[in-house]
Amino acid sequence: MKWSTQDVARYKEAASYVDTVIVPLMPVDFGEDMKSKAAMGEYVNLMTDELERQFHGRVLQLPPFTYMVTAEGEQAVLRLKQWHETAVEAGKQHVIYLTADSSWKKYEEELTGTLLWLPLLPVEDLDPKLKRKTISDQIEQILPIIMEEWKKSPQ
Amino acid sequence: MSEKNHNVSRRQFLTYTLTGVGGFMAAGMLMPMVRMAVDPVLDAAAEGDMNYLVEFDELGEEPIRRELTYEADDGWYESEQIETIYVYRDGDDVVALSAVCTHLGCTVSWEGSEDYPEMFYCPCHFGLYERDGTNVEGTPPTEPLHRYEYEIRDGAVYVGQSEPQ
Repeated sequence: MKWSTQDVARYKEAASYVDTVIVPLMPVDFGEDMKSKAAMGEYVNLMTDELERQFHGRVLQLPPFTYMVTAEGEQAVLRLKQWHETAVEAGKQHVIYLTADSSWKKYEEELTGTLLWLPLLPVEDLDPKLKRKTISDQIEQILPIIMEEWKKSPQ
Repeated sequence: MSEKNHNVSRRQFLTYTLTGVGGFMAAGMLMPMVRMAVDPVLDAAAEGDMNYLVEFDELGEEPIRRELTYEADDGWYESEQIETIYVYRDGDDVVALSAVCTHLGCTVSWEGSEDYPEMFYCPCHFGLYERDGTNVEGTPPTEPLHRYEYEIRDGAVYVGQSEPQ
């Protein structure tokens, strides 16, 4: 379910069925990497939308967690942990982060949720049909990881 | 000549003229505004269109997965909508089922679980449906998968809206 009035209303009715929160991680930077950071955000957004479509009834897709890459450093990790805490307090059992930014990899141990690092594919120049195909092929790879995660604590 | 001999006095003539001209001007300004406000409503009528799904020859007894992409116009906000559809042949009939689980809207998949062959399986809350879309008693869904109306034109299958079975 998406972070929209319509879906949140639906979520309220079915909260016990929705035990998973997905959060796209979105880097912001003004350096030379600006374009690649934008590409990461775009790609992760597309992937998160598709993931939400597949698992609509069991996941709540939060708005992107936005962070300043160079300025924030570890601060961003602490903030993300707060998101996790809030979700757990709300009774959510699985918190999944999607990112294309490999710098999160080094904090993976420290993070309390599940980090899914997606290697960035340059989809922005593809024609819409091929773009869709690429995204759904990638999603096929991720679905089993999440289904595996769910098996650990079945509803 | 006194004023009384005229059917229309000068004052009345001016009033009528100004009202008339003013009316046209107001209408000229208001029409585009009204038109713009009701535009999404007028456009929505076009939604009954049939969309190309698959060639008839490609279909067999086994449900195959297809994705339908179209631009949805929700008021002023346009977005790309994707619908996953399972389609197969049943004699001369074509069965096109929506892959949206009727429980909470996840995407189901044909033979999605090894434990349940020949069934549609929902990975979220383990809902099951028979081949024809009938929900299996005892699993979360309370109604069958929705079915699309379809027509065959020049050997290709076109689908319209999905309806509850």
